[in-house]
Amino acid sequence: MASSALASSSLSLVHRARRRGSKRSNRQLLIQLLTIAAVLAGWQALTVAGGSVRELFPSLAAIFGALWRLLTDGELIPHLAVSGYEIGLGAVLGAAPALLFGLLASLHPYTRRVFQPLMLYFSAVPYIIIFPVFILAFTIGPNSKLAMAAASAFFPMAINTIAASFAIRPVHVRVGQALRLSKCQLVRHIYLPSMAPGILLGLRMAVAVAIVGALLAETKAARAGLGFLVVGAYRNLDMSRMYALLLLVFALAALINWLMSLLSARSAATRERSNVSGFLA
Amino acid sequence: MTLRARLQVLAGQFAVVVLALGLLEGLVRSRVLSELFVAAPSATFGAFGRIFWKQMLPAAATTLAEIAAALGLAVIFGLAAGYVLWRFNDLGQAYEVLLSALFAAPTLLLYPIALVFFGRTPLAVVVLAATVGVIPIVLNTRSALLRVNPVMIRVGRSMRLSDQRIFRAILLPAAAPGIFSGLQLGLGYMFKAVLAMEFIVNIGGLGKLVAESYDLLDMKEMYAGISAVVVVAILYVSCLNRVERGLQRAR
Repeated sequence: MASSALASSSLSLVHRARRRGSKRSNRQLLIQLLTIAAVLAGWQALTVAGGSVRELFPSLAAIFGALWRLLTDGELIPHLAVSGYEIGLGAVLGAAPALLFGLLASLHPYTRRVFQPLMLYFSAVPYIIIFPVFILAFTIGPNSKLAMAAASAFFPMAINTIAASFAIRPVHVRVGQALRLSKCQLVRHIYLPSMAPGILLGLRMAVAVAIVGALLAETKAARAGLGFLVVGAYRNLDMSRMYALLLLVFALAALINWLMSLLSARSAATRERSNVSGFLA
Repeated sequence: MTLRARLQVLAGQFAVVVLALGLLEGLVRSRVLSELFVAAPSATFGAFGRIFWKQMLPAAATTLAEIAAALGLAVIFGLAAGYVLWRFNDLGQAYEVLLSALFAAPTLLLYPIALVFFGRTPLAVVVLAATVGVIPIVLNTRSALLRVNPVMIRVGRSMRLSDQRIFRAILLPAAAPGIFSGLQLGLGYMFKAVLAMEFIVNIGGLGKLVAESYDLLDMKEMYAGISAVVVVAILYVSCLNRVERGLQRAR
C-alpha cells in the first residue's frame, strides 16, 4: 500500500514537473534546499548551545568525520556482508514461497476469498515479535536474522500476489480456455503476465520490510551487522558514530528502494509496449 | 456475497486456522519440534488463561494507551501539516518529495535517537511511533484535499461562506475518505512501531511482556504474549474493515 502510493505520487510529480515551467520547480528546489539547510543549522546551533546535553548532539563535523572513518577503515565490510546476506537471502526465501502460495491461492475464487483476509490479518502483526522463536531455533548468528527477514517478506509478497490476481481479465482466461491451454500454460501465459506489476510491487515491499526486519532484529540480538553496530554505538554513547551509521543505513535503504523502483518501472514500460503491439495485431 | 457464500468462506478460514494449530500441536507432541522453543497451542492457551488478568490485560492497556497517544499526536500534526501543504502549493510540492523519501525510509530504525532524547520511557515509544505514523497522514491529507472538486469550493465562495465554513462544510467532508485511508495507514505503522519498540528495548506493555518471558525462557508465556499481539492485530484489522464499510454505506 505504502509503496504504491509512493510510486504513483512520485510518478505524478515527474509528470507535473515536466509540464510546469522551470521557474516554479526552481522555487520548490529552493524550499527543499532551505529546509535541509535549516535542519543542519538548527542541529549546529544545538551543538553550540548544548550545555549539559552537549554529547547528545555531536557537531556535523564530528558526524561526517565518523562517517568518513567508517567508510575508509574497512571495519564496515564484514558487517555489510552479514546484513546483506541476511536481507538478500532472507527476502528471496520469504518472497519465493509467498509467490507460489499467492498464485495457488488465486487459482480459485473460493481459496482467494478464504486466504486474502487471513493474510491481511497476519500482515498487521508486528513481525519482530516472533524474533525470539528464531533466536531459539537458529541461535544468535546471522541465520536468525535471515529467518526474520524471510518472515517479514512473506506477507507483503503473498498479499500483493493475491491482490495482483484481480488484474487478470476474465476474458483473457476464457480465451486461454478456448485455446485449451493447460493449467500450467494458463499460469505461464495469462496469469503471470497480467499479475507482473502487482507481483513486482509486492517484491519491492517485501525487500523494504526485509531490511527493517533484519536490521531491527540485529539491534535486539546479534554479533555482527549494521543494526548491531548502531546499537553498539548507542550503548557506548558514541553519538557521532551512531548518527553516521544511521545516515549510512538510510542511504543504503534509499539506494535499494530506488533500484527496486527502476525494476518495476521498467516492467511496467515493457508491459505497456506489449499491450500496444497486442492491440495493433 | 450471499450469506451462504460468506458462511462457506468463514468455515474455510476456520478450518485453515484449526488445521494449522492442530499441525503445530502434533509436531510438538511428537517431539519433531522441541518444546524448548515451541510451545504447543494447548499449553499456550493454558498460559494465556493464567496470565490474562494479572499481566496481559494491564500490558495490553499500556500498549493501547501508547498507541492512542501516538495517534493523537500524529493526527493533530498530520492534519495541520497536510492542510498547510495543501493551502500553499509550492511548499506542498517541495515537501511531498522530502516526505515521500522519508516514508520509504526505515524510520523505525531511528529508535536509538528517540531513546537518546527521551530515555527508556513510554514517551520515547509514543514519539517514535507518532513520527513513523504522521508521514502517511500528512501525504494523504494533502492529496485528498487536492482531489476535492474546485467547483464545490467556488460554490461555497459564491455563497459567501467564510474560509472556516468552507473548510468544515465542504473540504473536510469531501476529503474524508482520503484522509481516512491516511489514518488507516498511519495507525497500522504506529501499531507496529509501538510493539516493535516495546519488544526491543523492554519498555511498556505487550512487547515487553514477550521480551521478558523470552529472557526467562518461559516459552508458554512467550507464546501467550505473541498470540495476544496477534489477537490485538486481528481485532484492529476487523474494526477498521467495519468502519470502512460503514463509511462506504454512509456515502
